[in-house]
Amino acid sequence: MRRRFHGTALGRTLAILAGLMAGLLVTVLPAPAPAPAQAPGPAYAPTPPTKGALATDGQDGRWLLGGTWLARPDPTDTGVTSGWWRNVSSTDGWTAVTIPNSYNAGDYSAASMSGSVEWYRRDFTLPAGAFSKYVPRIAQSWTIEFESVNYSASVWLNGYQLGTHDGAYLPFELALAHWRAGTNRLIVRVDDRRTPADFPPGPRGGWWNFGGILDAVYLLPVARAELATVMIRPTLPCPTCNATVTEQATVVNRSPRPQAVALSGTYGPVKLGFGATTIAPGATWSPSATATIVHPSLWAPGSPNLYHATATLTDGSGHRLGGYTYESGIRSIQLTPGGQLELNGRLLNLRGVNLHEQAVASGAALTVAQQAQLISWVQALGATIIRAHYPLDPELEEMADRDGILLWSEVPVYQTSDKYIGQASWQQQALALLTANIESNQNHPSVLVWSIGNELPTPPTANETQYIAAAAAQARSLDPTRPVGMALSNWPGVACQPAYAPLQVLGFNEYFGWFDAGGGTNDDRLALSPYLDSLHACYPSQAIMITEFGYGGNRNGPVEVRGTYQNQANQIAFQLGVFATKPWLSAAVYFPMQDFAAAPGFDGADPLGTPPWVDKGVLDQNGNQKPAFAVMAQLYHATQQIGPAP
Amino acid sequence: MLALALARATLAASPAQAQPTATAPQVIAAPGSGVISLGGLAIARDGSGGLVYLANVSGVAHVFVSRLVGGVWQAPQQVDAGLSGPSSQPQITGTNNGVLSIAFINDGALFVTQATSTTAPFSAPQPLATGASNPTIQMNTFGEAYVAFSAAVPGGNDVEVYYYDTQSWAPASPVALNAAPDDAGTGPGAPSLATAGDGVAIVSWGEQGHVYSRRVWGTATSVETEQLDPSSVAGWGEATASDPAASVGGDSSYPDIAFREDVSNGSATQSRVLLGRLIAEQTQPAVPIDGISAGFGGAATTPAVAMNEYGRGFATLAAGGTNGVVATPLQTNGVPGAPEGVSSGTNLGPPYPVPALAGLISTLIAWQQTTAPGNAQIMLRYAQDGTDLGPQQTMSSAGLGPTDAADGLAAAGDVNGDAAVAWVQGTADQRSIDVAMLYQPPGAPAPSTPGTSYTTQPQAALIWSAARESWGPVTYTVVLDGSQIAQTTGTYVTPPAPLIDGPHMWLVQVTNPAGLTATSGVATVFVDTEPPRLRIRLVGTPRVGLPVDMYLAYYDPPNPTEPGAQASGIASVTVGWGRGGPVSTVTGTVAVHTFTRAGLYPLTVTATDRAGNATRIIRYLRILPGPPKAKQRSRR
Repeated sequence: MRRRFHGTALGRTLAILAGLMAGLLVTVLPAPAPAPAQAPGPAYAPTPPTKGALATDGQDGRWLLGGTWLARPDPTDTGVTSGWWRNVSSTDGWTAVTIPNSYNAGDYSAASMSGSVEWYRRDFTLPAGAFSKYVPRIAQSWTIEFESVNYSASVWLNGYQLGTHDGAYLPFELALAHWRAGTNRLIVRVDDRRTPADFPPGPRGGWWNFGGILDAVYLLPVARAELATVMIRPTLPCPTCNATVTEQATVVNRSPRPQAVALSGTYGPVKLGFGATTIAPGATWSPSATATIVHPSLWAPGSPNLYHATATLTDGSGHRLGGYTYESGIRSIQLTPGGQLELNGRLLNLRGVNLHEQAVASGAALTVAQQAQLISWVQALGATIIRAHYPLDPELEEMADRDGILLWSEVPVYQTSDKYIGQASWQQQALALLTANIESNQNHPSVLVWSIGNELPTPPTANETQYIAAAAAQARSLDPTRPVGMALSNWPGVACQPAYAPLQVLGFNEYFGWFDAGGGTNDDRLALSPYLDSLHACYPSQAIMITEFGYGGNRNGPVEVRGTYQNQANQIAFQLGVFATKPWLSAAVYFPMQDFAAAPGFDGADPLGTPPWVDKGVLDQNGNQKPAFAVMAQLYHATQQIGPAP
Repeated sequence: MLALALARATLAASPAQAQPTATAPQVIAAPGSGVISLGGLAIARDGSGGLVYLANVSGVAHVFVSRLVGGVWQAPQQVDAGLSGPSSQPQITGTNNGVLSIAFINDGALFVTQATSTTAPFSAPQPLATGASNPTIQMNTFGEAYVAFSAAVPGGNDVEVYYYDTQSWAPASPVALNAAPDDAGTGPGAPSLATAGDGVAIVSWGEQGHVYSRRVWGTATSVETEQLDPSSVAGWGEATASDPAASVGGDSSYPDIAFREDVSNGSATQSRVLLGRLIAEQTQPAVPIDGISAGFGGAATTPAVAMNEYGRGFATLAAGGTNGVVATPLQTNGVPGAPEGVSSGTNLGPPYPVPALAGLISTLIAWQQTTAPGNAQIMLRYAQDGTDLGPQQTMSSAGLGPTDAADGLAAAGDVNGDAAVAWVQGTADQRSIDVAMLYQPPGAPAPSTPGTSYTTQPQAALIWSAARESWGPVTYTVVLDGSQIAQTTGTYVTPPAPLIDGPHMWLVQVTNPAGLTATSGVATVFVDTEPPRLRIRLVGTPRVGLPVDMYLAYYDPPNPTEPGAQASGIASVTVGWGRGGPVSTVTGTVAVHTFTRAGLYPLTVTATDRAGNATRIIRYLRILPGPPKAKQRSRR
């Protein structure tokens, strides 16, 4: 399942009450200001979406709203009052772009990082034949799904606001009210100005703030009822046991009449029956089904066996209404009493990389080919786990499933001031974000850990302690099959922290010999090994990962000098040598795989760094391998990252 | 001229900051003990350390060390015992827990000796190299150390380096830092070494009138050597460069090296002090830090640098002619600021200024000031915030005679901002090694139980945490109910007389050797020796399936034998329903339980006050079988 999250209640209400509300929104929005003269825009004609999706997991029948879009900067944020959301055919002031698109890609100014407003527009026609003849017009509707918009999105169709959404890294959907035959005009206002209480906080941050529509946009025809979500949860009591697959679906009647529906599915060779029901208008049906998979082929790095899973929604006459397709994997994740993670009963000692979804020219708007390149590098390194500060694009997660790469799935609860953590609204939003990530991505067998955040204050404050407890409980409640973790800033001298007790996995970010963490207590890499031992002594029954370690490298030079390729390779080899002496480490994840733009003036502590680039990657920002790439690859490949079968 | 002006400037007026309190000088090596010179002083972050000096033993110079343990200087001990030749040039370095390493020359050979803790003896001197001179040694916080020295080799001298990995010494590879033997590291080209927190050393030395630096990482000598001295300064051509002084913080990317450069305009010469900086492998152009305008006379000598963890600190020099002290504050990563005068008043002799660090922030500068012939004394200014130097104060005692900084003046401090200054004082055979210590206030102790603690013991010990103070011994003064009841060096006391039942407020004040104090928060110990009162009554049919009600009456009375006594109050009342049944906590006056099996049950009721006094009642209750069950009648 990749669950889409709906926009604000406003959007949903509009979807249902579209006809009644017609015109009302126009009256509540500010009156348009006189428009200044605009440069003539390009010739632009509506085109239909393309059948199919970039990410194959999820709902069947999606239509990719690609093609030519229009974009228009709004540096003074006057677009709303100027009525740019109106259904106006003129393209004056607009320029042609393609989606995904980051409007500040290539702009590494402070203003770019701070964020701005950009408007997008797509004129389209709805495809003929999207609905079968047995679906009456009144039972036809559409939803629109955005995979990623950074940061705040306001969406209009044909001059009517569909809804809004905040947050960059998880998909959301809106009912496509006011669609019509002929030209439909979609307008999206994107605002990537972030506050210190946002996720991640702004206006500065740990990675570049690329605004825009950063991933695919889909249209989904809904015939009578929508098969909105399907949660697929395989459980494996023991590595040689039969697996139990439990599926939980959500079917929403989006039509104004009761709908008789039935749901059936398959999981590999096994059929699942969910039953049938009649759903009242606007109501939701949540059927479940269970199946046993005998002698399952397990999913694991090196043998990423996937089962083709389907769900089919039919009407009372057996006509197909919609479907859901997923490539699912069966595996178990356990925490041993001694604090080690096991996958299918095999102890993990993973090696991996952190990454940012970024490219020099396109910013955070990556094509599938660019995403595939990232995965290709991960494989070349011999890495078996990927971590990012945010949920990855669905295409990347599918690739991880297919290629047998584990994921540390983290919500962008990132280096937030305690002032905000203490706010009830912040905690509510953080927990909602965590829920959204779990519900969106829990079907991916590649997801190993749910991470509730990165580098909140150390030692934990009372507010942070409260957040950890609440988030861990929530994650475990939503998905008891996976451990909950958090990436922590820590250094020698920090006492053992009871606040971390609710976490099953502790990710420590350490930069011995690079960033000063606390009065020079981690200056010398010789102190790394005893420090790791002290962590293990502090938290003997929790899994410990090194979620970040990294060294800059951007030039040839003496090995002892920070920031040279030679120093980087040496430091990486040293660190991995130390990690190799700690078999209880569940993983060590380098930060980052590739150089990335961070923030204006930030050089990542390379004495000869080139802001805003953090040059700790083993690949430079253009994808060129540094000498450390080969060193890391050799050591990663030589490490037995997954223990023998029990 | 600016140097002169700076040197004469009285330091009016930086905002007053808290200053450490100096104690009267202590004599470490007494007059008549053959003191020759002071080699150095090392103090680790935790306040442990030592000083090393040369003293004559039967007319032969030997190396002695006094260790600093818990703030107390230990009796000097000879560390070159067994070596016959005269020793010279002792140097000392160390890190936490009393780890010390000493390098010295004996009979032309370089020796090292280590102590691995405050209680461990020094190892037998280990020879590293023959034909050695001018050793310089430094250890980082983690125990990695390097020693650099000039070594006589065929064709001249090399500057060589050895590395100590916390266990043993090994030569760097290549061991020689200079390209070919010549005068490297000799005379005013003596090497200076700084070890960064990250374990990389920067060695700087003079060679054929130039100043060079090179890094060493472990036993790997860098492939790059940097020349620091420029060919001219403000239009005056370089004559020679010498006297390098290197320093570095936690990050070896940013060392600073101060050095002397004599320049000439063809008819006149002038000595200048420049500061060279490395940023990674790049050498920044050296800049004058002496405040001298070329051609306006004046001279600058005796460069020195001290940088803290973050590269902040001071570079100092002696202003020729005025014998003033000029300091250049160093900002993060060693970026020099504007030079400023440090000393005030007449100085008839060279000041031999010494910058030093006291923790992660504070800095200090010590120097010698000769106000009249035969009246040299040690002065000091301390910057609590690392930048704003406090008032000039005299550290030495004139009663001990004139100081002799030419034969040794050293300063160092711990992470709390405490500092020590050591020097040679006296004349002829009455020379001594003296130390003055500067104390920061101790940290406040904390009662083991903050707020209110409860006890049943009228003379229960009052316990507190040790105060943060590297340099003791400290004294704790305990005040109970407004009266001092004890002074102790321990961390607990027992009240001298039984306390009556009720609350008693207490606090503890710590006093360090400088008389500085810190006081804990007020804690309360509540004594309660009287147990609660408890009565119960059972109501109901003692039969399976039917509820049994227990009515409870309880209270916590004050001790009736002590007028004015108070009770701590009921903390909990529990009812155990016996035979593995539940134990319920009662919050009111009724507890109810329904037994599921017949039998004899010991009911245990316990009332406990906050101090832990408990009153328990055990009542046996026989539960009878329940009434017979009605048969299920099927409906037809």
